[in-house]
Formats: sequence, C-alpha cells, structure tokens
Amino acid sequence: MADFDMSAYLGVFLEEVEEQIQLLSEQLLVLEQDGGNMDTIQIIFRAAHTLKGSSATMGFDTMKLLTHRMENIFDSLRNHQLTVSPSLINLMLECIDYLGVLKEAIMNGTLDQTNVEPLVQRLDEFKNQADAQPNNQAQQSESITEWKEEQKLSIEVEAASFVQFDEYQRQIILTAIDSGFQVLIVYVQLMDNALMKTARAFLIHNSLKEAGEILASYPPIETIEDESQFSGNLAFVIATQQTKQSLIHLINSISEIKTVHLSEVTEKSLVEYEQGKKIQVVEAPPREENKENTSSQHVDGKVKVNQTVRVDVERLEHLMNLVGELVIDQTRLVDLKNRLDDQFKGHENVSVLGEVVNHFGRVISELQEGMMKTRMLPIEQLFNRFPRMVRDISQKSGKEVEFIMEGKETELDRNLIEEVGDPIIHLIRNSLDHGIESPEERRELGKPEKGQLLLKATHEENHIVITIADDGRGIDAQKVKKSAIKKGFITEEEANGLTEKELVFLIFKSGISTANQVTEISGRGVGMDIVRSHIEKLNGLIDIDTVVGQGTVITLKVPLTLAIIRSLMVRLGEKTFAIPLVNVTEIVRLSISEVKTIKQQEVGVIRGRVLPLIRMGRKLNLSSIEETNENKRLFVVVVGIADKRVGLVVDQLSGNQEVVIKSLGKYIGTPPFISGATIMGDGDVALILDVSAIIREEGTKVLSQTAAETQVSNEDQTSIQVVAFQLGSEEYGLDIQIVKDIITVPNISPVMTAPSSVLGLINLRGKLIPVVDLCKKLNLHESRRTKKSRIMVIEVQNKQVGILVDQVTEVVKLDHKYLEAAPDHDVHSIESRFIRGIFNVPDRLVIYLDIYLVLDQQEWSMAMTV
Amino acid sequence: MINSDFSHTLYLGSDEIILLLPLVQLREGGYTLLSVNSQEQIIIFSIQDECYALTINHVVEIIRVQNITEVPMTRNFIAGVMNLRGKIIPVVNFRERFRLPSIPFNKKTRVVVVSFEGELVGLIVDEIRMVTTLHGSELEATPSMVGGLEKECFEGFLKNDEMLIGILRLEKVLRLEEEVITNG
Repeated sequence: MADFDMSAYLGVFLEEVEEQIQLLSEQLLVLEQDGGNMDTIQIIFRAAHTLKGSSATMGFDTMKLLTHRMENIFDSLRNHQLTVSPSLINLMLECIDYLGVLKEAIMNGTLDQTNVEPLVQRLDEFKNQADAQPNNQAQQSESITEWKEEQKLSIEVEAASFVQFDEYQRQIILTAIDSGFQVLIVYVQLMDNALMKTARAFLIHNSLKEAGEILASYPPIETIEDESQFSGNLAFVIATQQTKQSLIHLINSISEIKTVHLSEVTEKSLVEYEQGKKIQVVEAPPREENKENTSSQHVDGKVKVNQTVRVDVERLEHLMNLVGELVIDQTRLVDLKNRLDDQFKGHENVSVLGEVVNHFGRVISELQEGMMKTRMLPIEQLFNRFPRMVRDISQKSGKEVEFIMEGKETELDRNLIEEVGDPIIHLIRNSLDHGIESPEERRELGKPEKGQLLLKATHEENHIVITIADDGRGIDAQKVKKSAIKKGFITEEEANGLTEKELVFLIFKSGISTANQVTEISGRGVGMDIVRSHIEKLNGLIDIDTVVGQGTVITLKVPLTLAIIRSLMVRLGEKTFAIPLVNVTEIVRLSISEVKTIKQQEVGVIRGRVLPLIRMGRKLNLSSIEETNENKRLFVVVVGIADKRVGLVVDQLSGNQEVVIKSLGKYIGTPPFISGATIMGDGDVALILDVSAIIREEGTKVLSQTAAETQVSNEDQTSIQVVAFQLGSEEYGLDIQIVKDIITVPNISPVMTAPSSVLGLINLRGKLIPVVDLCKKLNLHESRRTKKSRIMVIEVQNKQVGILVDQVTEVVKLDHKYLEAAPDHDVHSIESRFIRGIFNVPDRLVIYLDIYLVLDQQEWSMAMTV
Repeated sequence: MINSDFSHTLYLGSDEIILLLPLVQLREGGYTLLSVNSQEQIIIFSIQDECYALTINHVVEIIRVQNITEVPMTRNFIAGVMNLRGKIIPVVNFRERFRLPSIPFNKKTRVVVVSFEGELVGLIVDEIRMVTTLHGSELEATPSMVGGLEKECFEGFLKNDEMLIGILRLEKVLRLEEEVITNG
C-alpha cells in the first residue's frame, strides 16, 4: 500500500492552524486577564489539542512536538498543577509566535530549518515544575482507571462492516500466530463530523504500520480514498508484538476518533471470520478532551453557519473591473436616454427605454455593491493583531492599559485592510508610548492607574472611520512648536501665528517628535509622517482632537473601496474634471471682493479659516472662462487631505457621480495634479484631479500665511458679513455666522400642534427642521411663495430652524460705520426689540434682525423636540 | 494594392480600412526589420503628404478620430487621452511629433492604435494610404534627417512609385531622445 499523499489537505490544514493560532493568542490574553478561568483554559486546551492532532495527521512532527508540549502545560493548568503567571503567558505567546513561524515554514517548504527544541525545553521545565506537585500522580492514575472502565462499555455499531478473510489471508494469519505474533483486528470509528476522514484513516493506517504488519484493511484502501464513500468505519487486521493497550493508546492520540476496539484473532475464531463476521464494537468513549473537542466544534459550528467558497482574488478583481465597465455603460445609457427624451418627448418607446434604463441602473448599483461586498472583509482580521501588540508594548514600557476594540465587524475592502494597518499600528504605538502615562504618573495626576485605549471602526456613508482614542497626556502644542522650530520647519514668527490645532498638526511633519527621548517603540518622529502619507495615498482624511492632560482622539477617514469613487464633477473652461468627493469638505461661493492677495497668493476666508485659493484653470494651463467673468462670484471647492485644506476655484459645478478610476497608463507619464481618468456618460474621458498633489504643493505655502490671517482678521473687525434677504419690498439682514444653509423651498409637512407661524417640517439631509414663515411672524403681509422664495436654515445654540423668506439677495460685507441703532419705535410693524440695528448704506437700508428674539420659545422648542 | 497573402482579416470600406488583429505583444528589446529577410506587412499612412509606414505587428486597429481629452502638462506631442471601448488610451499627434504645423481633423484623419510596451497608444495620422508587403531587400538606408524626425526614428526607407516611404521605428518615435516636458 502506498503511503498517503497529504498535500491535498494542506490548504485546509493551514487554515485550521491559522484559526487555532488566532484563537490561542486571543484566549491567552483573556487568560492573563482573568487569571485561570476554567472555561478559558478549556478553550485553550482544545485549541492546542486540535493543533496537535491535525499537525500529527499531516505529519509535521516539529509542530506536533511543540503543540504537544503546549497541550501538556495547559493540561497542568487545567489540573491546577500550574498557575497562570506572566512568565508562563509570555512563554506561551512565544510558542504561538513560533507556531506562526512553523506555519510559514510549511508553506515555504523550509520546515527543516526550524528548531523547536529551545521552546520545548522551556516548556518541559514548566511541566517539570508542575509534575513536582503532589496531586499529579493521583490525578493520572485516576484517569487511567476511568479509561479502563470506559473500555468495558460495549454497544453494537449499526453501520457494521464485515471482516472476511480469504484463504491467502488465512494462511498469513496462521503463520503470524505461529511465529508468536498477536493478530488483532482494530476497529475504529471516526467521529461523524470529523474533517478529513480519509486523512485520519490513513494516519491510523500509518501509525499501525509502525506498530506491526497490516495484513488487511476493511474497507479496502480505494474506498477510503474516496471521501464520499468512506463512512468513517474502519477495520485493520494487524500482526503485532505490541500490547493491546499500547495500540489503543497509539490510535487515541489521533484526534476525532469516536471509538476504538481491538479483538484478537485466534486459530479458533479464525473460522468465524472466514464466514464473515459482523463486528462487535466495544465502544471506548473518547477521552475527555475528545468529547470537548466535539462540543467545541458544535459551538463553533453554530456561530459560523455561513457557507463559504474560496475564490482567487484575481478572479474577483476581474469581475470588479467588469462591473466598472458596466457602471460606465450605465451612465452612458442614462445620458443617451436623456438625449432621446429631449428629442422625442413623450414617445412611448422612450418611456419604455426610461424604465429599462432605471431598472438597469438599480440592478447595476446592486451588482456593484454586491461585488464590493465580496471583496469586503471584517476589519476584525486586522484588529485581532492589536491586543497582543498592545499587551507587549505596555508590558515593555511598564504601563497599564485597558484596550477596548469596537466595531470589529465593520467591513472594508480587503486591499484597504492591508493599507490602513500600518497607520493604525503607528498610532497605537504612539498612544501607548507618548500618550498614556506610567501608573505612578497617572496616580499623581488623579487619573485611574490603568490607562484606556480605544480602537473603533464605524461606517459613515461610503467611508470607514477609524478612531484611536487614549486618555493619556495629550499632545502639547507648545512642545510641537518648539520641536518644529528647532528642526527648522517653521520660523518662530510663523509658529506664533498658528492656532493650537495647526501646531498640533505639525506632528505630521517628518522628524517632529514630542517625546523627550527616543525609545524602542517610538519617538523618532517618523511615525506620524508615515501615517499621513499612507492616509493621503488612500485619499483619506486625518483629524486630531487633543486636550493636554486628558487625552488624544485621532480619527482616520478613508473611502471603503479604491476602484469606484463618488466624485464631484467640475468644469474648467470646456473640460470636465472629477474631484473625489471624499476630499471635498464644502463648496462655497466667494465674491471677488472677498478674495485677498497676500504674497502673490490668493486667499479667501471660509468659516473663519484663511485658505489659499487655487485657480485650477491657471494651474493646469487651461484657457478658462473664469478669467473673463471677474465680476461674478467664484465657485470655490474646499478640499482637504489629512489635515490640510485649500480652496479650488472652478468655473462650474456639474453634480456628483460615481466614477470608475482608470489609470492613464505609463506611457503618458505622471502629469502633475492628475491622478487618473474616468469615462463619463457621454463616452468622453474626464481627468481626476489629484487633490493630494495639489495640496502638497500648496502645503509649503500655508505656513507663511500668518500675515494673511492678521490682515484679514483686522478687516473683519470693521465689517460684518450679512446675508441680505427680502420680505416684501424691504431688505433685511442676518449675521452670516448663524446661517447654515440657504435652500429652495422643498415639501413642507404640516404639523398639527405647531404654532400658526410654523409652516411645518422639512427634511434636510435626514434632519427634520421646523420652518417658520417670517412674514407671518413679523406681522407683515401674507407670504406668497414664488420661485424666488428660499428657506434659510439658521442655527442658534445648536438648534436649527428654517425661516421662509421671499428672496435672498446676497451675502454682503457691511461696514460697522453704517450700522445705526434700532429706533425706539416699531419699524414696519416690527417690534423694535427684534432689530439689532439698521445698515444705512448709500442707496440701501438693511434691517439687521436679531433672529433669536424674533422666534419665540415655542418655535425654538420645536427645533429641540425634533 | 492589397497583398493577397495578407493573413489578417481585413475589411475595406469606401474610404476606410479596418484591421482586426489580435493584441500584439511587442518583442523584447529593439526590434529590427532589417534582420528579417522574410516578408513583412506594413501599413502606409501619410502626414503632410509624406508617406510613412509601420509594420503591422505593432498595429492593433485603425479607427476614426474620437473626442480627445487633453491632459495638461504632458509632452507637447501627446494630444491627450481617448476612450477606446472603455479603455483609456493616450493619443499621440504625429504632426506635433514630426514638428509639423497642426491641421484640424478631417474625415480622412485616423487614429492608428498600436501596442507599445504593453500598452495601447493611439497615433493620429492624416490619412491611411495602404497595407502592403515589404521585402527586407527593398529597404534603403536612411538619409540624415527626414521631416522633423531624427534619423534614429527610421528603420529604413522604401522606394515605391517614386515615393519615399519612411519605415518608422516605433520605440524611437514614441520616446524623445531628451524628454522635453513643456511647461506651457
């Protein structure tokens, strides 16, 4: 009989190993925490046992050796001969690491280069300590008696196979008996749910072969090889000089065996076998751990009911590309449909086409989503590496840390999992090393000695948000500043002009470190630079929130997938460009007068932040219509990467769209500021702007803008930005700071119990906001809703209310000197207390309202209740 | 005009030649025609009434000019990129490359799609003249400079009805000796 080739099972085996290693390291950490919980020890013991069993099955003796010794240790733990100690856990973790090494070695075929001896020795030392414990002997003998009793239980096995000897075999058996051999029939029944039954059968076969001469096997080897036919019942006829006991022991060392029975063939009983004998099986219930094994598999089986198919990643990539093509075609179809709509309005076929196109679109977006999901893996895969890392680092640096992970089930693209791994590792290391203080320090500060580190993943629309938060010492902006000045990244003067947050963001510059000393873990100042470049590469954003003495929260936001992205389509002159929506923070219109030039750089003030403005048309050397319309207001798309923001001035916006990123190919090279291209609905190619490249170039200039900031802020003090709007023929104004949105009038759903001035509720991006008819509220004329009517969403003290106005005229900067105090009497029937003042600008009167007072308690409370 | 032993499928429309060829992988290293004694299929096209040719194993297909999206700040002879059935391919304007004045595209303008270093690249030419067979022995040496192109860009020349046809060496034509990037 040929030796059995195990290679077919290697894949299954390696997966099993991976799983068990993961389980072991997880549970060991739990064990360290709860110090000897029986359940945990059981789980660990089972895992080690399974590993031992399967590595033995596969014939990887080194792995078997190591796992066997580990199993011994766990057994001692289980029997209370050993107690959990940090040194034990450390040794066990080392062993697990080495199991990983062995696994790699198996994959690379370099198993002979590994050496488990040192570990085995150390394990044995522990084991010897345990054996020195007095209760050891008692336990062992006890288990032996138990085992003997089990043997006596006998039941008949239903699915009996027949052992029948032919004349030739009879002769051999007789000869064997004559020459002093014991001829035994070994009946083995594998567990019903055993994996790799065939492999186990052959393992039994192989071990029996070592113990003696196999004369026959039932069923024949060919049947065993066919897993579908092989039931798991086996009988071997063996001539051996070993004892029954040792044979049973031998077979029992193989996992997932239900029963073993030996019966001796004598010259007398031989006759019976010639006629064919139904097997009487003496069931030796499997040893304890085997029982546990089954039960654990049952539990696991219930958790993982999902049936899976393993697919080559390349195939998935290919399918993904095809879906990409479909997405492109679908946008083309929509485009075509729209053109046909215009051409043959109301034609029956066009409306049918419309239906088909709509349905097609829905199916494709589902297909795309489905495709994306197949590439998605829970981030757990990545996260599971961290508890161990946190433990090691905190132990090394003498800190006590409670590590909390949330959102392990959050799924993201498998490529991305790899990509975000490094940044997270760096950030965790930073938190542990620089963030969380030593227990003594924490005690002095009145913080709990145990620091907290939170790692959280959540979905936010098409992005995944990863938060790393610690309750450590926070990032000291002043320290960063000193370091940055010392390293020569900025001058002292520049640094003085930066806000705290901007200073903190300097840590993303290479070489800046706040650590007083460089440790093995971090402090060299390269980490954050790596984090930034990784996240930039993924088109992601980074944010830092830090309070000195209280902790740091770092948020990473990356798109879920790399291949298809939502983009804002903008026009520069005749050409369309795509800006990845993940980079777009907002879109604003600035009038020319609001654009300042400082050191040859145009800047604009957007929400209090001075941003460099980049004329994209000029930047890309395109002829742009923007130049000719200087009087108009500019479209500014504020984009951000990681911590930086700049405003891109574009000519027009043409909506957002899913685009499939395609490379320009290597022949064309890497044109600056272009990251790729995509095909639009009309079949034309649109280029995708490389926001990170644009920002990188601008980034160097950002720091020199302190002057700009002061200049702009000085100016701010003398004037107020006011949103001017009309009610009837009068013009009113509101401070732009409180106006969050100006929208056309959507459907307003009336509310029964609302005050009469409240028209109802609108749904603004998922938020319900009450709408007040301002005309009615101010006792002006009856409001008429026209095309020009607008709802201004205002926010005061975190409450949002929409107010309906007849027309929004403009956003204008009004000088303080024109502001006159409100008259004592009512103006146009508006109570004077509602009026903050009147802008008496030449040719114009703008009544500056105090909207907080205009709306009464009832109306504000509605904002709160919704 | 068309050789009968032409092995590839060839459709001849009224003013249009479409070749359907399998994607050709460029041979490793410098490919020289002169070393090949056997017959070679060549595609002859014209630019400013001068004829040039490419061996057919470079050519994937010939299409009409489509919308070309200009890519800012690339080499001046790169006209931009276009959509070839869902693939985005760069397009080279041969007039620019040959340092000739540009003319607006007309109904004879074609894009010769070639396979170059594993990628597809479109070449804008004024007109496709013919597909014919070249015998290695008919090649003549290259004069020092032809049109605006460097000498290295040619495999050799072919005399045909008093017309001199320059057989192009693709890897030289598509790369500039010194890559000059325009800064506009």
